[in-house]
Amino acid sequence: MLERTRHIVFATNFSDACHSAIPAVARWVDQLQCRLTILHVYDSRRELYRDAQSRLQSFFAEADNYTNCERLLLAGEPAAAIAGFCENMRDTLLLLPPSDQAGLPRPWHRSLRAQLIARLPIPIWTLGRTSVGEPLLAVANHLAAFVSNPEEGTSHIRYGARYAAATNSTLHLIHVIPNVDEGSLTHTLRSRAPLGEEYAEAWMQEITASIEPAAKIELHMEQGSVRRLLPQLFQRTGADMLLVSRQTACEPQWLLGPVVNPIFRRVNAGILSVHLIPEITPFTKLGTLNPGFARAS
Amino acid sequence: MIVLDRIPLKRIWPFAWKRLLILLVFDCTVAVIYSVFHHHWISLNGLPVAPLASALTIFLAFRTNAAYGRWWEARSLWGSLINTSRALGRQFLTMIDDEPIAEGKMPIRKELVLNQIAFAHALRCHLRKQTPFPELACVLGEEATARLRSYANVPAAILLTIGNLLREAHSKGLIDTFRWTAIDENLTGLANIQGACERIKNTPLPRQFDYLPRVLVDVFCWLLPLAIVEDLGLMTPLASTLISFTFIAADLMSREIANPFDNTIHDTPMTALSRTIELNLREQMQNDQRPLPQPIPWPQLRDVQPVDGFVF
Repeated sequence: MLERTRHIVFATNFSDACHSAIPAVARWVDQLQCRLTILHVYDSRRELYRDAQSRLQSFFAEADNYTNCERLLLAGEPAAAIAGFCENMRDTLLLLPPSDQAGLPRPWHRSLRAQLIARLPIPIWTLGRTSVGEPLLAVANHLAAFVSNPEEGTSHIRYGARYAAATNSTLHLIHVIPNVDEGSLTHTLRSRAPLGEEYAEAWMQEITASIEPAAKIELHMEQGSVRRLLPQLFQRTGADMLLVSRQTACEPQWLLGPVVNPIFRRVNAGILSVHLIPEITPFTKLGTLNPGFARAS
Repeated sequence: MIVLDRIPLKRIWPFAWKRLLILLVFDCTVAVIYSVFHHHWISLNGLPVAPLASALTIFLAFRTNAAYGRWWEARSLWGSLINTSRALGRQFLTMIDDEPIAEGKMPIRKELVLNQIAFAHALRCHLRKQTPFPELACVLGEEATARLRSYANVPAAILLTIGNLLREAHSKGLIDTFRWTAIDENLTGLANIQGACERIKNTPLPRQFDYLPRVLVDVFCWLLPLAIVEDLGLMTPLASTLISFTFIAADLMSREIANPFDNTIHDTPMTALSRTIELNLREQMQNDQRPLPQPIPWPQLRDVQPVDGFVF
């Protein structure tokens, strides 16, 4: 997928996070050597075209010096407009930083990022919440991928392996083994992810053996709460980007549609959501490692 | 850099609300314990709040002054960079003699000016930890940019390139030693500006200046409701939270401006300033009395305008 990316779309609402993301955008453009479109969707009922155009022209002004850069202003509802623009461009990487922090509860908020991650069949890069206004790590030769469960497939890991091989980086596979307690019974109904440390290790080894041999791979595993351990394990890797599957990137919510998975809120990094490529089947063989998984599934 | 005449509350609120919420809960608890349950022992009426607040203000003023000093020095350094760049552009275009026109070869004086433009962009990216190469490829061309990729300190490498071009001009007889020396003094000025910017970037405010005011603000905000509850009763949370907010906001604001090269709204507007340098130098090149047979490609550039009251 990395080699297929020819076009970067940087969707912006001029938030602080969009400004924080500029160094990362510049690095993407430099690494992938592809054209850049800076996209802004404005509400024509609230703002004049002229004003929106002026803001767009001055945002990320240094991009005027990039070889292939264009600015695009669309009117309408942001999710629909961005999706409409990107839907038929399979060679595109969408960069979508979060909005400004409100510091207040937003009970009726619908996440634009989650809507687009769920809807678009292209990789989407965003930022963890805590990195808004904070400089991102500048280390470029470490990359992490979060391995959640077998149902999510290995597309993002393969993507990461190819990216790591191409950029001579180390790929760190992060897996958090769920705690085993009375609630674990429900876990096995929802997922075939291994519960024991040994099974998890065997599963991770099997994943490692199946992907790009050229990439340097390191495994990071711990048992406990994923919200608490994921930021710690990620920080230990020294990586500046976390690859996640689309299934893990957002989770459905009963009333308001999908939301960005809260486990990534404390991860100080760029987060790249990769969709499941149809030709690559989800990882199986767990039954051979632990007969309990086969029974549960 | 903020160019609005006011700072919107929503810029402060996301960083202050957690501290304020905890304080509000504490203030309400104190007010209820004192006024409803009549536990009068909780009051610290004798606490000298006013002298404490004065001492705290002095601490905050020290820190704010130190932070503002860093911010202003950063802005002054970039002002000097603009002046030195214009002076160098003029020197390159007027002090270096004509050379025989070779097919496909850019005259040294124009190459020097383009390197000067590239220096401003590279220094900005260096300070913001951003890759400069997509911009440099447009200004200097792919080949020269590829050569710069091997350097960790790209602005210093560009200064070296400028020095090498001047040596080449001297060896070709396009510039004499006096003029070379005059130009080299300005190049040293650029190296000094870069060094000073790196010093601000890499040396944080002394921890004593940064940490102590924050702790003292917290201590003051926790003691305040105990000191005023006897006089204000159930109105304590209102007064205490308002006073706490002013101190917390002052604490946050002075911390924000302490790092002027961090790509935030409090930053030195380096994108706008480097754009000014580029526009000025390209204008000088365009109006040069010795025009080129083939004009240099000129990207569509305009002055950077503030976005929502912030210029970067």
